[in-house]
Amino acid sequence: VTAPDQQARRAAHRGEAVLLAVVMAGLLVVAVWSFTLSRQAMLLPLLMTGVAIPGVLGRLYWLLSDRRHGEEGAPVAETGAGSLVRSGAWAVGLLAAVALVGFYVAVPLFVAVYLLSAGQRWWSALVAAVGSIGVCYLFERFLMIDMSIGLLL
Amino acid sequence: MDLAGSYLEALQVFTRPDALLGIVAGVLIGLLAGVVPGLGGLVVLPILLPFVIDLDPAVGLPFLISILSVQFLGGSITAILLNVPGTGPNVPTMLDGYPMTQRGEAARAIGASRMASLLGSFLTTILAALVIPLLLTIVLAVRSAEMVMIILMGLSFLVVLSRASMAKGLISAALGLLVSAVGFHAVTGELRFTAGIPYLFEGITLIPVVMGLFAMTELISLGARGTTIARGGTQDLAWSQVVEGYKDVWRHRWLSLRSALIGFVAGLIPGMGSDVATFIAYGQAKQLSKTPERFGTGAVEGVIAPESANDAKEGGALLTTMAFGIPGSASWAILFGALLMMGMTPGPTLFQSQLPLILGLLYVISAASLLGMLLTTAATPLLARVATVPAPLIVGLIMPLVVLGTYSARRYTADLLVLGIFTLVGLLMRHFDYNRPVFLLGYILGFRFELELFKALHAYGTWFFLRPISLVVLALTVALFVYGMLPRRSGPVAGDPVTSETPGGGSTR
Repeated sequence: VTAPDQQARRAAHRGEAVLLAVVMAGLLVVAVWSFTLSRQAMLLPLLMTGVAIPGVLGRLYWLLSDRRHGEEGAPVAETGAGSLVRSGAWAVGLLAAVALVGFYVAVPLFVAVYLLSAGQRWWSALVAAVGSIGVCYLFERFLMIDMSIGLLL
Repeated sequence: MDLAGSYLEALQVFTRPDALLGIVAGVLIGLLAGVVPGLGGLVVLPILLPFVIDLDPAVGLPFLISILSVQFLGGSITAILLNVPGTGPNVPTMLDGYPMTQRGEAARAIGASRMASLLGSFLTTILAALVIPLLLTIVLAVRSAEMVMIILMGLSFLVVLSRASMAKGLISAALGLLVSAVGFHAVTGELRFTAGIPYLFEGITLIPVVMGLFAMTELISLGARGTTIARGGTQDLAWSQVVEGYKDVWRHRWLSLRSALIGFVAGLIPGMGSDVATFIAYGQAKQLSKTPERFGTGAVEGVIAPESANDAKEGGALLTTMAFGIPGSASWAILFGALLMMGMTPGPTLFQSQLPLILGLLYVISAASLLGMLLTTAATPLLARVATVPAPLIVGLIMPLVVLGTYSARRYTADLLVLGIFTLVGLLMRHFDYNRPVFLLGYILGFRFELELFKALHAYGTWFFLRPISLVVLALTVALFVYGMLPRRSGPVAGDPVTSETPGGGSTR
């Protein structure tokens, strides 16, 4: 295992440990909340927190004990966190645009901008954008959906 | 109704014109989904759910099952021609299929893979039909106490066989079950974990969860990779070579039969995904061969064995899903969700009351495979070109469809927020290698688990798990965990069993 690999693994372990700490906090909230419920209703949540909390603690111990880091650990991620965040930002942008300006504006806008930013030619982006309006129409027509027009329109 | 009558009724239902149309549409979509690495059933199935839930089950289910059945068939084309597996289980096919292409025997490899797939799906239908009387006897003995233990065992299979950290599997399963607890309690009607938000009163619904965990997550990951998925030209495929491939399957008929049997048994066991089935089939073909040194250099047996096992798996998976309500993989969990939305709860009751439907779905697996074989044999070069579509084009066009599909299921804008949240959950789980299929299974089975647990406690008391069948299932579950704790040999053999629908061989966990 090379030094950069080791460092990448440690960074991944730190990230996972932070995530598990958040999960742990959530599980504790659920466990406490469960005690406010009736006996029947608290059974499943308590059983599951009873399984998850030791699991999280065990995993955290494994992640935080340095002696294990060199052995197996997290697999090397096929994509970097940066590119994942960038790609995820497009999804967030699409969801936010749909909520704000509705499907008929957000979807063609997303399709056109995404394809242009990915290096597609302007005319193919235009055709795809127009096509996406057609898809929205098909959804509205055949599934009889009132398409959301968004909060701003 | 007797079993023979059920077989006939099934044939009548699924030879209706609209059902046949559903099969044709499913085959076309499934082939395209399989051919394009990065798509696959996990992306396509959730997108189509909103369209299917209002359909007659005799049309909607064949449509979905056809997609499930032929996606691997599509994936094998790119594995053989372009050295890019369309789905995870196509990896072993690639090991010998692509060397055959390099040797100028692409058409023979394609012919062999088509015929082996067809044989596998026919055999799985026959095997499943033979097993059904036995299963009917077993499900009659299943009561709530047994059902609780069976659900636990199903989850345990996925946790243990995932081969990732068992702690990760347990955490994923428990979190999925906890998500299912949001909303009204099934028995008391009490509200749980809603914080007074009316949207959560009915619980968190399936479609945004599945879309977020799988479709959006896979698309974002594909966008992050950002490269053209497959490159390379295609060859002209001579018919004489394709026929030679068909003959190869006959020459190696015992290998095909053995591999189909392996696939069928793997399908019966939850968590033993297609990845495992195909690698085991490939491994046994190599081990039992008189010339194992040819494997990896373009041996046609290396194409026949995984392709036969791959298609045979679906019949086994169908039986486990329908008879015990335990979907064995993420794709089957999505199908399970579709059934719930259509008002049917897979499990012993459905298995007894809707036997013709289940038998009909077995026919559908074979019919879809036959149609897929004919289509792929005729249009292989065209399908191979589809695989070279750039990733940004796929992401840019399909991501809006996912959002549209999520919204159209219930017409709630708030569902888009849930979609966003579960996309984040899916991305984190994927990045840190947690088990998404187990999470989904926990979420889907949570309601049922709680209901059966309640009934078991009331009917049999605290020690309900000491009933004979429950005890046997419990013992199996414990044995499974003990097996999971044993040190394992490392090696490139099976990959991850629950990545059976892995687009392009990536991770679905």
